[in-house]
Amino acid sequence: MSSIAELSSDSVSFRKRPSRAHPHLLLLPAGMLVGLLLVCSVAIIRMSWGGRNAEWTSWSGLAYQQVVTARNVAVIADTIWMAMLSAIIATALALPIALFMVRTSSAAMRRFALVTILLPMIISLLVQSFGWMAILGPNGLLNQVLSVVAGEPVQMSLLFNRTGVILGLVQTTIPLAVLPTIAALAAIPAALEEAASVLGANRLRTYRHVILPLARPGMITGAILVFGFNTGAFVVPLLLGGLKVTTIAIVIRDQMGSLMNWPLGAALSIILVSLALLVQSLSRMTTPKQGGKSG
Amino acid sequence: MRASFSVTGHAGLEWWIIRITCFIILTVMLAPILMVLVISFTDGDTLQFPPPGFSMRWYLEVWAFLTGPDADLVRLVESLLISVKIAGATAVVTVLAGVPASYALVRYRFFGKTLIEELLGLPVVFPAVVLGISLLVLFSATKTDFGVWQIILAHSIIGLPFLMRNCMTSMKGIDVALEEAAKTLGASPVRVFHKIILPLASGGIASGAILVFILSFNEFTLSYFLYTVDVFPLPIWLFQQANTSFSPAVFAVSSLIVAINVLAVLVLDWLVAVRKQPDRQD
Repeated sequence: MSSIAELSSDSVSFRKRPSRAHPHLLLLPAGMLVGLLLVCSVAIIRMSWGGRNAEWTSWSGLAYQQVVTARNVAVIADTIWMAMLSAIIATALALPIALFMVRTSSAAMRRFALVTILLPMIISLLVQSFGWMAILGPNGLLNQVLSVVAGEPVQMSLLFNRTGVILGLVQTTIPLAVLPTIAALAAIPAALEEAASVLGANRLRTYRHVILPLARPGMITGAILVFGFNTGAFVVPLLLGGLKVTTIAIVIRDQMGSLMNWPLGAALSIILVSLALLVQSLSRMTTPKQGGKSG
Repeated sequence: MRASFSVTGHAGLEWWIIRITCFIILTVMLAPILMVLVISFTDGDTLQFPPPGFSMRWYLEVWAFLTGPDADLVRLVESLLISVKIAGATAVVTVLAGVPASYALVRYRFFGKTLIEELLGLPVVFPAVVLGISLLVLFSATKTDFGVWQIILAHSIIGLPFLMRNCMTSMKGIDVALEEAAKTLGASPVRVFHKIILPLASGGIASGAILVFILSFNEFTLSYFLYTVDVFPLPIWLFQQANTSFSPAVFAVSSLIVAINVLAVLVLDWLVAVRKQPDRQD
């Protein structure tokens, strides 16, 4: 319904162009905010090609040589690896949630599930990391539960290492994976599943050959979103990784802060931004066009 | 519609597997938040779990902090007020900048529109660390100090796309004939905007503004780079407490933050539900 209204309003405004149109004036305040972002980007690019302690006055390519040293390459690879792992886990966990939300007949349950998955993304990450500390800490909930199950004291360390960080990354970004998966699952006609079962496919085969292939575009979109979001991860590794887990964002903070190597920090920033833009263009390529389906 | 699931006979089992898995995952997702809530009601002096007993002890402590004579002992009051101020100002700035821009994008066609749409979506994917660092560098290189406005500006940049998305969705639903009619009857563009667009888009604007308010209220990364001794938002206060004195009082404050967040989400959810109603009647 809304798409029809949208179509007609678009075509009308196209035909009768308002006489006193100042769209650029209307865009000015928002443009200034985004303009500030662009100025920031230019400043970072300039700084990355500057010499240390003389970022604005000298030119040097040293920062980029430092980027490709073994240590920094390892951090970049590590960040990408953690983002990938969190994307895969989040997408896998998103499937049952999306299946539940699409199939449940209770609107209240659907809304409850939606609010529940959105809360971890909205609620203060600081507060949630406090909770994770209480769960994953040496005497935390998890070790207590495991001790009871194992019958002997378990002192598994999940805090301040990679496992804890990945757990945190998955938990805070799972809505990004769930929402596109729901959209893809909801678009599968029930008749297809019926046809599969009439033709003798059991549920496993139906999942493998009907449901999963049709849900795949949505799941891939979700995975790319989670990946893109987590390549810039800062708060979660800062709080749950202690000093042991470093990501590109944390190295940028260190270089710009205590280590005072601004050009290197800037060069790593450019890598991070390029990664984000690359991921965004990837997601644009995989996201199915919305216009054609609504009819 | 979902009768097909009974066809196979496995429907019951399959449905139970989905339900139980979903329930477990959702519980784990909420576990850290629930943990903070439970521990904040502890009777003891430490963060041990399970708490030795339950009481409102730490809430009373926090209340004493907030209202007592030495109210500013740990700068909690100041941080809370500055965070509310920043979040409120960020919501206002994004509304002032985002509403006209949304209208321009929904109603007009002009040269460079696609590029502008792309640019307006950029803050969503731009890494917060890079934005925070570069703003810090920019402010220090130009030797400017906007005080609290540094953080408000930074939050407005990342909040803008969220406001505009909500705003544009509700503006797209407005029938252009209403505007044409008003114009034919002699209303000026400003009057049309004020009397027709704003009232009809108010739901979207309000939900966008609330979303921006929560985002800003909870935002950590940008504030982490831009905070000063005088501008010390609540998330920074929490971060510092976590590094120094980690008492259950911090968990009580955290629980209050969760309460504020949940309240805002419920209002948001309600606004979205209200906004959808006219569509259903059509």
